[in-house]
Amino acid sequence: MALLEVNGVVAGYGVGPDILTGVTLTIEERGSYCIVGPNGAGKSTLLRTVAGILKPRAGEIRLNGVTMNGSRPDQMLAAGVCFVTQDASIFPTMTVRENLAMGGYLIKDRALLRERMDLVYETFPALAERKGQNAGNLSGGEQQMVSLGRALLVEPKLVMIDEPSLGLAPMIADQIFEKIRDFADIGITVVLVEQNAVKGLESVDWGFVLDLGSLEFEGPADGILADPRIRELYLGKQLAPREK
Amino acid sequence: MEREEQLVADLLEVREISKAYGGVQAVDRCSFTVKEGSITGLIGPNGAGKTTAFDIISGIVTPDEGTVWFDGIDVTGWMPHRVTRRGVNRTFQITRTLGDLTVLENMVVGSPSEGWRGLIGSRILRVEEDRAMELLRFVGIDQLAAAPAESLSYGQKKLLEFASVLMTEPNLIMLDEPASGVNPALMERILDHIRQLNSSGITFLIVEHNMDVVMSVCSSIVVMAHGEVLSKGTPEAIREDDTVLDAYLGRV
Repeated sequence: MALLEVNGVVAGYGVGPDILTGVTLTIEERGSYCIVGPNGAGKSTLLRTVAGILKPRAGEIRLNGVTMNGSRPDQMLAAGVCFVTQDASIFPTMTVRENLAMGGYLIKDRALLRERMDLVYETFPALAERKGQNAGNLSGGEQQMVSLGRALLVEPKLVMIDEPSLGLAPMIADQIFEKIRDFADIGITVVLVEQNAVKGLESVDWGFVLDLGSLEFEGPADGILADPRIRELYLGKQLAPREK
Repeated sequence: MEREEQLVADLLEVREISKAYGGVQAVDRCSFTVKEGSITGLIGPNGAGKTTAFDIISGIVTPDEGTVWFDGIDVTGWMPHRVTRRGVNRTFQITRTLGDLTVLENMVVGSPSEGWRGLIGSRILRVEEDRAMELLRFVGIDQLAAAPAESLSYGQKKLLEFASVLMTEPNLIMLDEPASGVNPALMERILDHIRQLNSSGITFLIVEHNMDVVMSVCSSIVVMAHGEVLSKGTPEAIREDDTVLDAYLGRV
């Protein structure tokens, strides 16, 4: 059975127009996926809708076969879907350790929490060195690691990461993508949204291409960018020749 | 053909402008021109520096280096209202309307005849009101003139902002993402307005992510990436330019 099924989902903000106009896609367990597409395609909106931040106006979101429409973000997290937002959303005046602990507030067993914290520090040695420091004083890359570490802490079935490379220097972004591959390696299903299509698709197995709020096409990640439809999507449609 | 292009004057010339925010070089020795009577598109991936370039041209941000020339005059570092009076006006990516004021009041609040008259009386000048109503009719929201701006839909606010930019009778209109969040029918209307105003002699510089819009309305395109100008040319040439596609996909 598919881990996540998104079926004809329509969504938008407030009274505004539909941003998602009917997205249908399937996420299999233990897969790794990247959603690419031009600005305004609806990539981040799709993640927010699955995460429960936005309610779908139509369509269905199923997790392990169970309809999740209208679930709150905390309910989605409890069901195993963790969303890492675009802005890293750390608590700047709290320490790294406290930031991680905030992510683990659903874990009531303190020994288990400590064990999971150690796993996070093992995965992100840079955070272990800085666990007593205020997260606001960390570099952009380290803040992104706090966000990813917090996701790892809850041992999600599915982690959705919105623009992990945003605002990071290329070398730092590469380190982050490496960590994301580690997630997939330990069996966490990963869905990325990434502006840098090349880097994003290099880090996953399967690519989805979104345009104007619906799925344009999908395929193995390494073949996506060679598709001739990509140029049209990113640089506009072929125009009728102009009159001279 | 090339000689003909030479004859058309540059209405706007940006020379080697740079601007850094903290450690980030948002705009890096960027140079381009906007020909009089053109509709020029300014495109590029997120973070390319397009909005910073807009802010520098409109006087909201002073460049660290470089100069901005409008109609043969160096306007670098001018206050935004002086740049506006000189003939440049712009919209913003996120529409900025004054919600407590009516649609009509929003139209006249930025008009050039502010000053001592505005200090003495609060009445709207007849001539301003006439012009405002004419422009509201042009964009098709004149029936909402007395409504508070906050009661407008997103699309209507976009039209209001578009109309209020015209109040200052600009020679150059800069639009920051006119198509964002706009439904296809409204977008067609906005594009019609742009074409109509352009044929009456107004020059446009447009930042827009919707490439179908850019490619169909612009006569010339400037591509920015990492704060620099990556490419310039006709829509057809830009569309076939592999370096442009690579920049959008992050292959740099």
